[in-house]
Amino acid sequence: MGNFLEAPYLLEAVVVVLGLALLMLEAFLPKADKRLVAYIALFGLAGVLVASFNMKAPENLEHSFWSFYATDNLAFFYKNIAVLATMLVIVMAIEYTPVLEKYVSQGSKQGGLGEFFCLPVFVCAGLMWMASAKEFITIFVSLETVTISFYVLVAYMRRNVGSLEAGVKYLILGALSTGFFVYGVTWVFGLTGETHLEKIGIALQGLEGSDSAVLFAFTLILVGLGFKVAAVPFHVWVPDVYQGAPTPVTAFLSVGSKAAGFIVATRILQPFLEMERLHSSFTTILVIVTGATILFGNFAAIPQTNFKRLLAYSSISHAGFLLLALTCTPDQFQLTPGQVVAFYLATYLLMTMLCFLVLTIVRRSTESDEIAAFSGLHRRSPFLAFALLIGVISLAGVPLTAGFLGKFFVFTLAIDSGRWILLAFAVVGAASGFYYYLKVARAMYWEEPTELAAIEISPLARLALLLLIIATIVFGVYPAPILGLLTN
Amino acid sequence: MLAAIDLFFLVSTMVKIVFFVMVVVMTLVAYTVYAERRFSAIIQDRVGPNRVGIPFTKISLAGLGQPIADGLKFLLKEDFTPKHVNTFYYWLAPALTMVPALMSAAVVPFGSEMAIPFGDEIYRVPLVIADINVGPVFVFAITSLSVYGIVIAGWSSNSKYSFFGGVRSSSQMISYEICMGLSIIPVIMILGELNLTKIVEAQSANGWLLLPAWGNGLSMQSWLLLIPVIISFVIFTISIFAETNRLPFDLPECETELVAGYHTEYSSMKFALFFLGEYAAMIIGSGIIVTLFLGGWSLPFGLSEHLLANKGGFWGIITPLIHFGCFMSKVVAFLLFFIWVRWSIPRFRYDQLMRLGWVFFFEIALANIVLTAIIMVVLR
Amino acid sequence: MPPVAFIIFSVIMLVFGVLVVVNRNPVASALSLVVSFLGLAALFVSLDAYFVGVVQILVYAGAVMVLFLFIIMLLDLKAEARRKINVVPMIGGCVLTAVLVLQLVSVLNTFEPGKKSLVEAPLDYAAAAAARPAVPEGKSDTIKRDLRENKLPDVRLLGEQLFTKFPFHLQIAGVLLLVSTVGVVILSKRELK
Repeated sequence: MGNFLEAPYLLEAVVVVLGLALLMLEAFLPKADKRLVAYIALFGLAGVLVASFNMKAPENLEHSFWSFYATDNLAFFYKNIAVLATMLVIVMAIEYTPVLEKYVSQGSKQGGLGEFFCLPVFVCAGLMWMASAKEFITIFVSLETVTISFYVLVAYMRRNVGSLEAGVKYLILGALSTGFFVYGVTWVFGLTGETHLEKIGIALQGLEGSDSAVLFAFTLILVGLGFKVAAVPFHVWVPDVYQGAPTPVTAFLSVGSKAAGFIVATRILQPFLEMERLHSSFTTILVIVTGATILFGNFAAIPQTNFKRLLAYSSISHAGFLLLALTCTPDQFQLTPGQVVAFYLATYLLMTMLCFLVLTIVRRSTESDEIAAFSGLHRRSPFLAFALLIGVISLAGVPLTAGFLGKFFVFTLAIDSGRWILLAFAVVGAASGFYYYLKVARAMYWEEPTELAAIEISPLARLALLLLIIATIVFGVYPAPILGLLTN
Repeated sequence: MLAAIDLFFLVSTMVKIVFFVMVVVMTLVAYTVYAERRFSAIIQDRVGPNRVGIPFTKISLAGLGQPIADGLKFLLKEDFTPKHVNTFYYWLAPALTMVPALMSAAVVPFGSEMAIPFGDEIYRVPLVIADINVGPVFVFAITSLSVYGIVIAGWSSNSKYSFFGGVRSSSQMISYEICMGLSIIPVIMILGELNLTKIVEAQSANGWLLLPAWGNGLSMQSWLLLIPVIISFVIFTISIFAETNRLPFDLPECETELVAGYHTEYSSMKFALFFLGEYAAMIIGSGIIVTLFLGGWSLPFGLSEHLLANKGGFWGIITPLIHFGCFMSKVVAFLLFFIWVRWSIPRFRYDQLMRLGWVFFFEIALANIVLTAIIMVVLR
Repeated sequence: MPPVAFIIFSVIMLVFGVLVVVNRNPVASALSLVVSFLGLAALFVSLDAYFVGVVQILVYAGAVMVLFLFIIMLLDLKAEARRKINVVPMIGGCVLTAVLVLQLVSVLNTFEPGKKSLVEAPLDYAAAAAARPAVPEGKSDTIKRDLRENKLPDVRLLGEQLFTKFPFHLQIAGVLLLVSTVGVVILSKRELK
């Protein structure tokens, strides 16, 4: 029995059951405060997070199920990222309730809010499946679960034109990218007759000829993945969708969707990159995409005046740094690219969520996402201003914050495998990052507020902010716990 | 397997198509219209069409010549195309209603296998046009296409009544397709078969689904399974009513509200095609009900098995013909049931119709699948 | 023989696929797409995949496209037909399509397909039946029975794969459908409670 309770797939099962229970609760208790749903979701997910440390990979992997489902450290790590991100998103969603009431319910109090707290739970299950997926069909179904939930969540504020526009853009481009991805998968299947990534790797090694077909398949898959992780030139949806979507959903897209995209990318790219004959061609394609992503993301962020849009471009530029790690083949550095990416994403989760949480709270009281709305924030709420300061300097990569270590590992990896041109791009990008991130800090501390009323913060949000600040600083100095999870 | 086509197959299939679709179904369509008028007259205490018999004589044959007169009338009337319509689609629509109804006749088995002795060899002809492994699904697929005719008719007529009719019928047909599909899943689970010929053969040997009174049907399981089967049968039959736009679900052409619904702007033979399409769909629907629930061409109480045991000689031809007669009489009984219902029950309101489909039948059909599975697992 | 059917139905598919884009009238576009789907279904059937072909008609031609048509008609998109063609994006689109087609052609030229074509490699039903694993006492293997009768039990094989090899994926798909149902209700319901 003890063995059964340690089976890793129980985590997703529990999350799905939790989601179903919440939907039922929402349906059969229409009079209750909808935030109850959110609190139960938080509680349940916290339980899952704790339980995930108890899970073990089974010793007997003969059952065909385990050929679809990875149980390595990376899988568990990404599952934790997914659950944490979902919890923070739900905290944010609770803070965001007044805005949602305005644009969703209209008239009835809290109408239609219950589902806004339920859907992230299902997304979380999808993200967790993606973390373990090592076979194309599994990847596809879990990826679609996540993407389709996001189509709904992005357009959730149905009486807000911006949200609907974002939803339509995301739907059309998302469907297109899925088409590319699936087409690529069919080419791979046609070439190798396999959907399991490990077996595809073996089959690709033994493949003679058909080079251009392999490259074609690789590129098609890359288009699909590039869309998910917001890599240039498949980033066109990012600014508009990020700006239009409800802020908690933007945060979720920026962290959850990206993390899942990268775990899948890490796993899919591996069999291709192991193919000696075409290794250099694959890397060239990746390097071009990476370079474009780093440069575009950082430079396009400079002129932004809307904080949400700024974070969208920042999300693109971070995707660039993450891709940089994936192009590397380490020589002496002891962390693999996959582990560096995972570490970077963990720190990215902390600092991005910090920024978005502050944004949500400020948005609620000022009704604006512009950077101007943050003017003189330190006089209205020193705590919020400090939290956001930590968030942005960590995003910029100032030493002694978690964000610095993430970039540090990526740069070390790049030096180790001799990606000098990309490294130059990355340095330029990181430098320009200082400019646009600190623009927000300047607004908060050196500009006069338009309004002086203090901003209220709920106890739950205050707790979340405090934990995030502490984590950002502590992991910036002492990263061992995260690295321990990855390497142990 | 196109490579397997031989001359005999080609000829026999052509003969079957001409016989079953052109002769049997089309004649039946004509006489169902006649039956409808006579039956309704009886129900309403009128006389009905009883005059037309053999021309230029006084022999009236109780009006059996009426369908021919009707047909002539449709053909000879002026074929009027209003100015405001979208001509191409206006012309296309009637064909699109008629064709799917006739196409789904292809998979309905209308008799047991015929063995024709010819010279030294015996040629075996299964009395079904296309013996494919996905019978019911094929029928659903094709009937789901028939909605196009109605929708296009409604849209291309450029008139509000037609348009409303088209919109109503498409949402109605889509809604009831779901119930229809779900309701036969228990049947497929019980029989473990999607090939209609095999479904009938199994029922012939082991009892009809609605009358498991011989063979393996005399078991606890079969009788308990009657509960889900009856539920399936009721939902499926009612869905067929909705799919064929028959009263009490004839909202698409509801004359009190929409003049004549989607075919308001049609006249002459084009109108007749809609009319015939509806009746053809009704006949095929009855055929499917009979095949799935009432043993298709088989005789009750295992009599078919005795007939089929007679091999050789002319039995190979006579047995299928008896079975064909059996199949046709069941279908005709169902057609009369359709007509009886039409003249007895008033029309639903539109929201009631949708509620019935989505809130009741959909859920009941789903629960029915679970019920069937439970019975099958417990009484294995 | 199959190549003839293949050519006919592929041509139908492609021609009507092009018509979807070329037609100015949205209703005509939608109907062309339906015909294109029918061609695709016929291609599946010509490969002995009856079930997939029929489901293609049932789901795409019979349900999805009907709903599309329904919406198009309700919106009455007459403006679409009158809209002027924007030349630059059109040329851009055509060039992109041409490049993609060229790329496909060049890739297919270097691609080494299986050594045997489908016609030369008919399925060996008897061998397949013999290779089926044994079933427990008192049960019958219907797939084996069908194979012995020289019929391809495509539905049964599909079901077997789906429920024995991929039940996990099937359940994820169930969650996916649930989420999309909830989402549709939320986005389109008139009054939210």
